[in-house]
Amino acid sequence: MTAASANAPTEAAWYAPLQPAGCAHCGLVHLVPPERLGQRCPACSGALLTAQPAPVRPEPPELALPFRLTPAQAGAALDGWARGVWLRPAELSGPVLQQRLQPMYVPMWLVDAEVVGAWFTQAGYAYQVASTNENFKSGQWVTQHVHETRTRWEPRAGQVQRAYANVAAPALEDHARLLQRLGQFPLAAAQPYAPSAIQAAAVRVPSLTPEAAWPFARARLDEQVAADLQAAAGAQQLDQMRLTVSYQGQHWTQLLLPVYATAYQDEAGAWHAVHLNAHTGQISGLRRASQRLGWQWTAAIAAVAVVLFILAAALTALGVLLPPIVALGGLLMVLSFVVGLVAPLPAVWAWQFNRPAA
Amino acid sequence: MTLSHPNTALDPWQPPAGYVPVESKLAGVSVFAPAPVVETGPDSHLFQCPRCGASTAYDPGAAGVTCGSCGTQQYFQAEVVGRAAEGTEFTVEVLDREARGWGRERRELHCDACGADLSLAPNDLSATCAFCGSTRVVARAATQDGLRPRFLIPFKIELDACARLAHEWLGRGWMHPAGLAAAAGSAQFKGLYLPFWTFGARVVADWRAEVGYEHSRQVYDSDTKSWRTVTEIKWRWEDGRVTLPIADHLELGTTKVSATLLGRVAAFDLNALAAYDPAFLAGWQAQAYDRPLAAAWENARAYMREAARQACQGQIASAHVRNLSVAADFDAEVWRYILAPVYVAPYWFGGRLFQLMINGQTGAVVGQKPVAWLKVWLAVAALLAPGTLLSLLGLPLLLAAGFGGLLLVLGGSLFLAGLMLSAYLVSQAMQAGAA
Repeated sequence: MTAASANAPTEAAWYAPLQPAGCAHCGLVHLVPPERLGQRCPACSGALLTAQPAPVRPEPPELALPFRLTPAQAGAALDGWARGVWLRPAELSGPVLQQRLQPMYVPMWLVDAEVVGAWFTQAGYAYQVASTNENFKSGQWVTQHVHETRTRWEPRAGQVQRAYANVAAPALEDHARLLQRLGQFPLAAAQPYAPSAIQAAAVRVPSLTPEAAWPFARARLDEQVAADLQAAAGAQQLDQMRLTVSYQGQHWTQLLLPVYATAYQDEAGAWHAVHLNAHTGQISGLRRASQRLGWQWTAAIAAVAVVLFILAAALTALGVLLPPIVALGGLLMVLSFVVGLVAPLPAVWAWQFNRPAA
Repeated sequence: MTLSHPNTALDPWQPPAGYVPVESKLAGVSVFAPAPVVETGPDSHLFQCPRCGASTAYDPGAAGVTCGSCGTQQYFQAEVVGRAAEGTEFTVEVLDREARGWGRERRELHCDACGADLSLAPNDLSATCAFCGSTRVVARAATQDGLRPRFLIPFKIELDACARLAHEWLGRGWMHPAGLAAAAGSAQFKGLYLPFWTFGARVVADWRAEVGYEHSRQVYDSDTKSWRTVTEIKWRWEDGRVTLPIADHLELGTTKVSATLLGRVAAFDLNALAAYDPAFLAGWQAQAYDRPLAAAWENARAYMREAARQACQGQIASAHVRNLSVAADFDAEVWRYILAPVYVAPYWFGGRLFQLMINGQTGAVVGQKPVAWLKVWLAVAALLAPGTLLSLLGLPLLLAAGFGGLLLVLGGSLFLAGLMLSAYLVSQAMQAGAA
């Protein structure tokens, strides 16, 4: 592998007119088409993208997962997501989110390798033993026969020489967090990389080189080897696994995962990024309620309560002259109290909704 | 992109010592496992003296194999494991195979000493050639059965001591015929290793019962115009848990010997358990089990659950208990199949045959003893006589003179005491003659 280089050669980034751009808020670097410079960062929306030199590997990705959802489908999904908030800011709406929708790609590594070497483990084999439960009642014993499953541990050793393909490894430090929020992608649907696919998209620049991602890849490889050894030994469990192996013929493939990025501004002026898995439609983002709307609703309901109270007081006063009206006055008085009690709820709800995210 | 990482330098691989290849269910992976313990060698061991060629036998006194002809002794390393002898779990596989039967058949053994073919009964673990008298122990016998004795208690009592032990035992007690001790001379003792099962388990028993507690209070009786004490029982539900570890419960493994006698002689010290070695059986008869594991376990379980129930009742601090229910969960159940040493001998007395059995480890003697009933009845008469005589004397005096009351009471008391002692004597006599 050659050392990473390339300081923003617009035409040289993976055969597409992309150039590195950084975000002053989150510090992440994307490859973007020149016309997207000055737009909000697709990762955090916290600042505008500015041209910035950054090390980019010269090798282009080999695979890319296509966008399965169209922008319209993504917009519909975002609309439903936004409607989940009762008192939402004006910007948290389907049309606004769809209008700001921009495609982006998130990179990851796929590793092929042949594992060659020796192994030793304790293999656990399940077996059944007969046991009994005895119940004494009314002077008699009743026996219930039961079978219990236990594990017999036996040492096993041997050699392994097996090839493993497309073992996933992170290309970003926040890879695990991203996948936790956006869900899994169907890696098998990946297609060969074409520069045209990323021309209009922002692409996260890998922050983990294959060397840095190797421990993760190795752990995943070892997991697959362990699963194979368990199957080979016909065991139900393994324990104390020791591998003395080499990982030969490694081939690293960069795969791009499709994501839609959008953002909205809450009433305090803060920007919130929203991301959508372009394959499954799973959405990740922070939804904020409008505290201002909450207070407005509270004020309106409180005003109704005050009006009801004044009316009730007036009717009660009139009751001196016309006693039957006192009952109506009392009823309105009770109603005004009930409405008064309900009045704080919108403000409290908005506060409560925003609280966990605060 | 193709990358390479510094790899661990791999040495040429050799499987660990004692490992053999086993089936791998996946291409590209070889699997090695410890070689299974396979018993090699002949189907049977012929015990012959290396010096004179005569048959040799295990000698309890020497704790080795001794030549009966020239006295040459050969020692072997006996591994005494005691109560730590490993137990076996009740695996479904073993129980199923045992329930189906192990396909026991008579086995043919070839005597290397004289060339004769011996026919061995299914339950025999050792044999003596009827033609040349050489002793032979089936080394892997019963081994085809899957269940084989893995431990045994060696003989400690020598054959020569049996006659003395029998003489002492037969001569003990007054209710037996005179000259019974001399009958020990007619007893032909035969040393046998008999099969036993041992069982262990931990029983966790949850109990629930209505427990009654006595409460006394004073009640005024208006009819008699006095206070009296009334005792009432107040019932309340209680529950508890008992954890009862039971180890080395012994059950008979044979139905060929009197269970009554064997039950009385089977107080073996399991601390002497040794790993099975054919040399222990040289020159001795040994029987394989014919009472199945499942049947013996059923009996042992009944014993254990009753022990658990009694332990539950022991937790209750009152004699008044009703609606007791116990849920006993068995755990860590293990069994062992062992051989234990016993001498058996029939002996003749008065034209009748009686059984005698000696524990080959402890020397305890049990058996049937003829009873001299005349002695017993005379003793009964002697016990009843004082009471009867005093009563017979006291009654006419009371009727005639009016002062024999004390004698009558004393006679009656002595009669009752004599009656109880007589009943005890008769039961003892019946028990001695039974079995």
